[in-house]
Amino acid sequence: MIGTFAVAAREIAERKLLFLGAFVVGLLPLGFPLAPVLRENSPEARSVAVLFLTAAIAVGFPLAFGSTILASDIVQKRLSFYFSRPLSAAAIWAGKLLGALVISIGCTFLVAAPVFLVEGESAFSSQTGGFGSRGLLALVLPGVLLLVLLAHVVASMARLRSAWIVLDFILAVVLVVAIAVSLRSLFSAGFWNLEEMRQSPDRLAGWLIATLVGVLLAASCVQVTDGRTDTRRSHGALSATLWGLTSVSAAILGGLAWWASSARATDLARIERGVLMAPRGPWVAVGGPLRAGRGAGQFLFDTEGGRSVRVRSGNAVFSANGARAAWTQERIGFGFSEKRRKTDIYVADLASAKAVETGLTCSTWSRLALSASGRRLALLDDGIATVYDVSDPSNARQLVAVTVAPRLVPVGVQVHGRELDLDRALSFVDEDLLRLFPRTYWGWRPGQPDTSACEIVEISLLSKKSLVTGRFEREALPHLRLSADGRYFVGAKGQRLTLHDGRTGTELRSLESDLKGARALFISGGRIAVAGVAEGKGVLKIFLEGEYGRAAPARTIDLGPAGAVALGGEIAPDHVAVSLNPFLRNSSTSSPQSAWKLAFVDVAAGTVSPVAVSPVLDGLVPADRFTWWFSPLLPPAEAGSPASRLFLDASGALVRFDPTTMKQEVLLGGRR
Amino acid sequence: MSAIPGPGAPPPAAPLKTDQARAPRAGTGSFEAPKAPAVEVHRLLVRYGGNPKPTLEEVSFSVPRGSVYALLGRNGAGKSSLVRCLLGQQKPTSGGCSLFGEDAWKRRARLMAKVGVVPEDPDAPPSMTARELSAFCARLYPSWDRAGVTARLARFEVPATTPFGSLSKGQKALVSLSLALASSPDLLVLDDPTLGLDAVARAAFFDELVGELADRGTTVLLTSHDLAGVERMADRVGILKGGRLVLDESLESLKLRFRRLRYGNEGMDDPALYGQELSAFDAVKVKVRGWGIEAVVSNFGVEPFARFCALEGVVDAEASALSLEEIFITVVGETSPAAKGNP
Repeated sequence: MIGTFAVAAREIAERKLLFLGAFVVGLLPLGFPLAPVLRENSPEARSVAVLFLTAAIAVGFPLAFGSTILASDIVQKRLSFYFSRPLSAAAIWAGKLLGALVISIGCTFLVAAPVFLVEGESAFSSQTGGFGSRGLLALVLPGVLLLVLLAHVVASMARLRSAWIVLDFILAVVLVVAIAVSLRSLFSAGFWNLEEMRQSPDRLAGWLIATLVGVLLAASCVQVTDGRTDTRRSHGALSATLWGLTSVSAAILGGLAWWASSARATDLARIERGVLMAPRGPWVAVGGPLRAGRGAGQFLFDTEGGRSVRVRSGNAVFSANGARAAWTQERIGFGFSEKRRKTDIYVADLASAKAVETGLTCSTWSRLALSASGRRLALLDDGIATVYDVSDPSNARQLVAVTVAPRLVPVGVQVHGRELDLDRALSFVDEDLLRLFPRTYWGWRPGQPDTSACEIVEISLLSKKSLVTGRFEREALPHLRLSADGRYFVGAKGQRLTLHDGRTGTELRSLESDLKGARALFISGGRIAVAGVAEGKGVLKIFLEGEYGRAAPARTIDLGPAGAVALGGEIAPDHVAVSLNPFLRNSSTSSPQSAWKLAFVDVAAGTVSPVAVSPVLDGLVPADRFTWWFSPLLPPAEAGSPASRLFLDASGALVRFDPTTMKQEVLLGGRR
Repeated sequence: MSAIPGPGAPPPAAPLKTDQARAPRAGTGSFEAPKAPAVEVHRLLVRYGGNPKPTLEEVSFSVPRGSVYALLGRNGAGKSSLVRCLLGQQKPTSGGCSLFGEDAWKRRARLMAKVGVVPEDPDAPPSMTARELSAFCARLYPSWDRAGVTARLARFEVPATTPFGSLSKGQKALVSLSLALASSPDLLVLDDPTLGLDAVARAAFFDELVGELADRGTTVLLTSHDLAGVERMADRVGILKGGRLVLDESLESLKLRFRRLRYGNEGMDDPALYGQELSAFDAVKVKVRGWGIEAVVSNFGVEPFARFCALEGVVDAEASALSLEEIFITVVGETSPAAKGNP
């Protein structure tokens, strides 16, 4: 330590006048009131001036001393003076570095000191958005160290002029690209959350800077301890250590990225945000946190074959035939500008479980729909509905683009300053007809269209024209459920569930107004099942298509005592799954999730059969009970389809239930 | 046996040693248990970058404690590389150097407490004065004779308060010497310290050095082109040629071995036979003059010379001593065609 301090003291003593100079320069802003042009705004001018001076010294001095204090001695072979003394190489390195740091940091403080002493904290907080002197202090210390080291390394490479410089340049490019790709992959894989990073980048930046500082410290130390006065060896030691450690860091990051990216649906720790079911076939979309800290992921999952496709997005849809899926995937970049963010559209043939990038892009919050065959893709983005032919997904062809809603100024949910029209919905009626429910805006202003209602718009791919076919009250839209043929939809009016004509939006009847937490489901035979709670009992009501005009339901089934009812799919023709919870929805009573009891209801016979669930599974509920991220308008899963037999238990496990054999099998997640 | 390879002959694997180093001076450990030599260089190989020819190749020698070893060689012979390796400032490609029995690369910091260095290019920070340099060094060494530095600087008439960078080259060398001696080093390494100095400065430098050696018996390893100065001090001489140590011998033995012979050779008509009679002396240079033959021999002996004088045709033979400079030129310079093939 004596040697380190001796070397540092020598460097500081040699430049001691700089401290005085910095202090004198720091006094200059205090004289602003004497200047006629600055007199009126002297506090602001002082604040700006002192921040400018502080920044100039905090950046300029580390760069100047970092590039000279050690590098010059090595290049000019003056380091032999120190190496001829009983000084360890580490002490020489540390002393030189300490000297550069003390001079840079000391001068930075001294230039800021006079104004700080006179005006206090206000001089630093007013022009820095409240960052203040403590914030600046926290920034200066690591910042100066990083700049000193960077300047030293770059200056050494440039001035030592050995053949290593070629390798330095190549490796710098290769490793920076490799690290950027790895970081991108980690964000893409959901290992890190890009949104969180955008809002609070300091944590990742802190890790990166700490790693960089560590690598630079080690490289410059080895440069001196191993290179000593041999310039060629010095450069070699610097480069070998710098790129060696950087390569190791890049390899670790790359390995981490590979590990995170290679996760499959079977690595999900639990299912969150529900399950999106393909109307036909075994495929579902699932998502949630991954096991072993691998981040989070969303997948298309084949519940029968076990295959999975990573979709990295909650914005996924299936075609009605269950043969294709489409989804959006935000391009991972490090820009914070919303305008620069791009989202790519992918299509997968589920038979081959192969994803294809269509080359189409859209905004992050656009909505998708696939036609029943999956050959046509509709995109609602920024008020424009566009339909593409995606028979060959890699060669998507635009068929029609129609502006369906003017871009107004809504006051809806905002993400990064951009409003979300989350309630917008679209669905193909058939291959040539697209129906949209372009709910416009909540933030109505004079001169703008009345937004209390949703228009229903149909776009014909044959005529390439759009037509407003009807309207309905906008409140119904969040509850929208479509019949398989698109002729009807269920909406809501206040607390009531209402049945509407699918084309005109005309309210056909009120389905239910007495049940709490009522949910509706189109089941086979054009029937509608509505479940809810009335007077402490679960109730399931069945409405028949031909009797929609009747006031009373065709059948009312008492499900038994319940505080809440979850309505599931039609697990077999005429058999609907329901889960009953004795506790009230949103109850604060402990463990309501595990209290769900599964029952199958024969809607034809009106009987309820409680299901004996495996003791390892708690509280099975229908898997589509929870809302999937974007809640696309999909027809209900076919009666008896594999997807209709999926349930979630309290631990988030996805469970397949065979109603014939009563076999229960955990497919994903949970306590496995 | 000759230490001098003839032109075209393969270089020797190791230097020829014709005698032992001079015994240590009094007070330098004569009564102590046997110790490792002050300097030991073992099969040192230094190669730079992709250069196929090494700068130093298989160099081995040792310097006993208390002796003065002069390492000579032409420019680029590898002297400075060897000194840097010795001081632990440069890692050898292979082989090694040790000081007082300890590896110079690994134990550099500790060893430097016992070593004073005067570099070829004075390397002290240019902004520091001699006084500041002395104060700086005083914090690093276990003992430091600050008064001695001041006294020496006064003796040399070097200003103590002038920045080092503003001093003349001679003054810088004298400041470096003052600093090197202030820690009472056991080993003094002088890397061509008088290069570029005028005669007065050179004299002052060597006078101080000789006085110091007389006082303390410090081991000295010296490289220099000032062979007259070296001759005043050196006990032993090593000569580097093309990266190899071609000679490692005491100066006394060297001067006995190398002599200049002059003689007339009556009746010798065939020039091809000139110098044949010198075969007993390992002639390295033979010149035919108008008055007879002048030769430099590397294996002179008194008795062989008496026999040589008695040879038929040899008249007025005389042998004279060579200066170190003449010996050096003979060893590293081109040999005469007549000496080619002479072992």
